[in-house]
Amino acid sequence: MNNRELKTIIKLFENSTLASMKLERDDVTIELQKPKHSCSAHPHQDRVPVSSSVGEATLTHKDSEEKTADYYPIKAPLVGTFFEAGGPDQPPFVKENQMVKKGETVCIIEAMKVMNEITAPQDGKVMKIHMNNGESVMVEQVLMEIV
Amino acid sequence: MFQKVLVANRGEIAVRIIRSCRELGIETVAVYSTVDEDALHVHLADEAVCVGEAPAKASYLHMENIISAAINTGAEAIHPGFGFLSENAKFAELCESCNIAFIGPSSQVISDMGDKAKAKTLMRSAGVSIVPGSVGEITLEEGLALIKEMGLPVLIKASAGGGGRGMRIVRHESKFKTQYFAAKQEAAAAFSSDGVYLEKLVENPRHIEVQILADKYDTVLHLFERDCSVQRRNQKVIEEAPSNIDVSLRNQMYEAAIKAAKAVKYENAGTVEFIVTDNAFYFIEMNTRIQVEHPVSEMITNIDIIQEQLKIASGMRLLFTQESIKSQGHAIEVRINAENPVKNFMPSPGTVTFLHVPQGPGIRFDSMLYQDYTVSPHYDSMVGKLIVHASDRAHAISKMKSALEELITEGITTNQWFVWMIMNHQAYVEGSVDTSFIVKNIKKLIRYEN
Repeated sequence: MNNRELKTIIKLFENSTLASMKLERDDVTIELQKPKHSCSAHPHQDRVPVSSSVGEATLTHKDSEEKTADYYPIKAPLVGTFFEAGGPDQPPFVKENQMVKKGETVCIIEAMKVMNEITAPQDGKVMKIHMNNGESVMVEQVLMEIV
Repeated sequence: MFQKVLVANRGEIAVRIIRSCRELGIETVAVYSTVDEDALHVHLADEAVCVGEAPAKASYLHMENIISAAINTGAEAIHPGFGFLSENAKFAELCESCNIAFIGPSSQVISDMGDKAKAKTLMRSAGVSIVPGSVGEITLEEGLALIKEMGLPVLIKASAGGGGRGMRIVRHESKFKTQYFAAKQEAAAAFSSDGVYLEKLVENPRHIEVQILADKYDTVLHLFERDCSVQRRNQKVIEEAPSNIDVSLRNQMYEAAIKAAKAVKYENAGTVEFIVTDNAFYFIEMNTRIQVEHPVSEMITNIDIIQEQLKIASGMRLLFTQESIKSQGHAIEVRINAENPVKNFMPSPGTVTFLHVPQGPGIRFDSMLYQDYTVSPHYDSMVGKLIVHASDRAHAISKMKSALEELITEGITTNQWFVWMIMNHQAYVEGSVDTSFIVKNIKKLIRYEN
């Protein structure tokens, strides 16, 4: 089996509704398993064959989700740099304990010279901001939590 | 000719410049930021110097570090590419004072043309037609008086501007005051200069530009025009040459472009941009650097513009005459950006896990991509330019569609199917689009699946 075929199999698996899959061909065996919750702070992990580290990552994520069951996480839709305000001299869009309305801008993620406004997915109160101004963010990384 | 040139840029244009240098037997020095260690330009150059951290202002815009890199490696000249320091008069001046040849015009010309209001004043006195508007920067009172005189709608533009920032359209007199201050504020934030000027708004024009080459001995030639009307938010998406506008109008534009270049004693490659509406054209600005879309002019004239830039800067004469430069066939370029048009053009940085580049006669892909290369979120989203050349426009469109269908960049999302949709749009195929084309047809153009 060459890399190309392996990539095709992984892609088919990713796009399927299967949670896990085992394939044996000639002397090669591959086992694929999707994380229970897609944890993209580790973007490569859902692509590689199952290993103990994936299991751990999934578990940690699950734990934190259970603890914060009442909170709604706002996640980064893309890789970039987190900015709390619209400009260096401007106040932050939101602070902890502040009420926000659905659709209101809560922060900016700059990527490829484009300022992407991130908006609140629902009305609520900002409980925790996980990022510092100017910090790098990964896809799906939790930026803040609202309740 | 130079022995060694430093390329003060990254991405596809750095790669493009390094290739031209190699063909001319010139050694190259690449500069890079800490996140670009594995970039193609770093691998292709003979030497490479890290000039700072990822943010552009700490590396690719860090003048002192770049000049030091040139001095330490013994480079005699710096090619600035486009963007970054390419139109920074202070940087050109710094090169001049360090006895390093800046591959481009003099710092004085960059400064004069970079000040958009000043450039217009210069062009007006040189007899080049410009869009009716203010003479230089305006106060609020002057602006109000002027709109009474020339009518609405008008455009308020930042003197130091570019890329659509610090620009405001005013359609009603009552809105002028708020828009005037909004433009000033935006200009101050973006360019640290709040000067604005006024221009009559020419609605939905076509954007046509003339490529110029000028040597140190007063020879100024044109390499015909490019039609860059397919734009989104003032950013060009597709460029082609030649345009299909009336031949006599085109000839007048070539003359005007040469007149403009001569008026400022221009040297090296440059572009004179015009907007065209009905049967009139107006100067809008002059770009004092190589442009992203230069390959379409190269394809129809068979002239390597980067090589000409290097020769001119080293003091060589242009070896052709205007009559000897022929325009042959039709060329189209599309910019391949790491973005997802379907999701409101959201940037899509990431690792290219599989890459297949279209090939064949008349197909060119200027890019810094290679398999397993990671497209950084720190810089511009353009990852390549796909260029085709064919006997006529219809064949060029067919070739472009076929090439786009072949391009594979797994791991990142690009706008390749968005530009493919444009290639299939009736108005584009008919050649009748103006700068409002994308905004008017966006819903239809994003009706595809990635």
